[in-house]
Amino acid sequence: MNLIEAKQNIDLKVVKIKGEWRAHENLRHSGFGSHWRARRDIRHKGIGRGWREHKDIRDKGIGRGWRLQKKLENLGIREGVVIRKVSQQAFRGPVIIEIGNTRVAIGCFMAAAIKVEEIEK
Amino acid sequence: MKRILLMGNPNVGKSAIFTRLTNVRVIVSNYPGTTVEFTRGAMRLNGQKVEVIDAPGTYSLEPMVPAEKVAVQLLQESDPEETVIINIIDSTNLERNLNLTLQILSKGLPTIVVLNFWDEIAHRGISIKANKLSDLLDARVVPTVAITGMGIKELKESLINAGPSSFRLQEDSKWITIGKILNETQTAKHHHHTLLQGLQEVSTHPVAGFPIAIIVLFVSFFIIRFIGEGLISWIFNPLFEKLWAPVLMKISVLLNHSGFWHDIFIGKLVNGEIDFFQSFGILSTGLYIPIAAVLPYIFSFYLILSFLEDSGYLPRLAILLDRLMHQIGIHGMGIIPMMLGLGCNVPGALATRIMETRKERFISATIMAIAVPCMAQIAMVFGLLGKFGFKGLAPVFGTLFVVWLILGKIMSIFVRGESPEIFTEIPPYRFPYFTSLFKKVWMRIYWFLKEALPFVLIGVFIVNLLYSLGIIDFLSRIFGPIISRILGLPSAAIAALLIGFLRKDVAIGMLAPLGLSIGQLVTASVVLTMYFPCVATFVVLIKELGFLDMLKAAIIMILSAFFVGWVLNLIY
Repeated sequence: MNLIEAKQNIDLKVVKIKGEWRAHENLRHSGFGSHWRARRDIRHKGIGRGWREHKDIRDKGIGRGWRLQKKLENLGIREGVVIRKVSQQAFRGPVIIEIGNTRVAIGCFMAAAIKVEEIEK
Repeated sequence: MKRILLMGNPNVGKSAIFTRLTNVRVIVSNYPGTTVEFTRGAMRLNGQKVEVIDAPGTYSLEPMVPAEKVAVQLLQESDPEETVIINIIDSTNLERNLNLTLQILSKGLPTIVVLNFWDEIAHRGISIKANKLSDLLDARVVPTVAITGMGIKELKESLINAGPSSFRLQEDSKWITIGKILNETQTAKHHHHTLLQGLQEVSTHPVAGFPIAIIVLFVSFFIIRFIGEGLISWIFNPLFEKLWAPVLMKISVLLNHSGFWHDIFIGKLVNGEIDFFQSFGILSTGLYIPIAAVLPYIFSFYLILSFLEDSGYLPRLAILLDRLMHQIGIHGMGIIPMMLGLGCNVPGALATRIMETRKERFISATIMAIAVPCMAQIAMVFGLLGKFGFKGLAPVFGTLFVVWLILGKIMSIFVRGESPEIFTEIPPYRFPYFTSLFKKVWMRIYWFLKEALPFVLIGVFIVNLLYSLGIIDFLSRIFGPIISRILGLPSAAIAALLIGFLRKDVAIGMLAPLGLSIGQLVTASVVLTMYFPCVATFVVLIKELGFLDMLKAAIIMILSAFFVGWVLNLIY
């Protein structure tokens, strides 16, 4: 499941961080808005532009989603760490998560790209 | 050693340490070719003057945003022989902060690691072995509490013999290394939530967050107005009326009460005296508007804004409003220029630089200038239409709000560029460090005086010149009939539109003696608010957006103002 679908206030393990460019699909599966609206939002938010426009990055074999992975990693969110979803604002608003002593607000599209699983107690 | 560079993640108390190290004189400068600001100051070390630079906060040396790029460039430009890096760490978030620390240490520059917020780790059930950390990193580690000044003396002492670390980071095993360091230096126990942490939860709650936001905004707005109006009526007005006006009257006598130079410098006398609102001379209105009418608001506004900023409330407000603001193509932080614009459009225009992309800056500046009336204007609209009650006031403010929404939506679709999603760390609530807060307010005021004041004087000079040469009369004869037909206003109201460029509240006041109907008053008030920003805002917007974008914004302003005016004219 992705971070949007995850329950609040339980420990979650980050399994994979996908590229946000697939987020319209991620979101649609979560029952959030129509396909074309999500695609339009992706265009307006400039998601995936870095990869499309920078040939040097593509040539290095860096996959889509590298930018988001780097951004999240800088705040300590990477595959394998334990996070906690604190709240989700209404109508596809930002998701607030807690990692260690840090709280981070993440836009809905980015949150949809973060795959998590619940940790069995 | 000639230079000290402060580096660290955002919200780790860098500016507080900077304030502790430096003396009063600090300079805010833009990094060449960017709008990113950084602060420079100086300190004395062993009788030698050393430059101290507060770099923008960054999470890593692989920059993702312009501010981070500037921080990395500042590090790369540093000469290893002449520079000491002070890497400031938030002790409550050791793991995340060590990511940057290890990258900096690997650069081989003399580095001191500062564990700030040392007092907070006990509350959070954390203990850190600073000596052990120092051994592992091969660098001096100094625990500090910037607000109380704890550890600052040790920090200054350790600056003298700081040397490079032998630590080198393997990029692929970075997090394993950090994990090992944490295991050896930090122990964490479970701790109970404090009251402040409870407040943090509530203030970003999807439902309960909104009433809290309304209360905070209302109280802030009230305090800003209270301080601003207080300064104007108790300090600046008496200064200008009692001290400056007599000087100007003497000059007026020297210039024989009239003539070209009299009109330029003193302006027109109203009933034989200087009226600081209506005289329009460079030395009268030109000095009065920026110093006595705008500066007090700028001071009080920045005081409250810096408080909200340093206490940690602003990012929370941005998160609450993010969804709404994305509808008009800007993200949550866009609420700040709008809020500021309600006090005075000048700080509102300055605040647009917090937006990330050109598209967001353009949209927020344009709709702020068009649809957000400043305090002085709001007061005048109340004076003019207040007697009609709800029937008079609601159409004005309702129209402006609808214009704000619709125009924002249209621009979000048609303006090229991006408005990225929100992605921000939410710092815990902290009580601001007041010395650092006042330093920040002072730097912002200094900037206003240095950058905006000369342009206001030039603006007043040009308008006066146009008046003296009869160009404005000529323009109102040509455009008067057209504007009257579109907006349904008498020709006499055209003069108010022209004056509105200088001072909107005065312009709205000029409508009072014309005996207009309620419909005409509503139309004139809305058009006056929308059609163009006042000269001070205009100048700041040119500086912030650049000439070309400002030209586009101006075209949007004029077209939308006349369109809305025409629609209102049809309705009434």
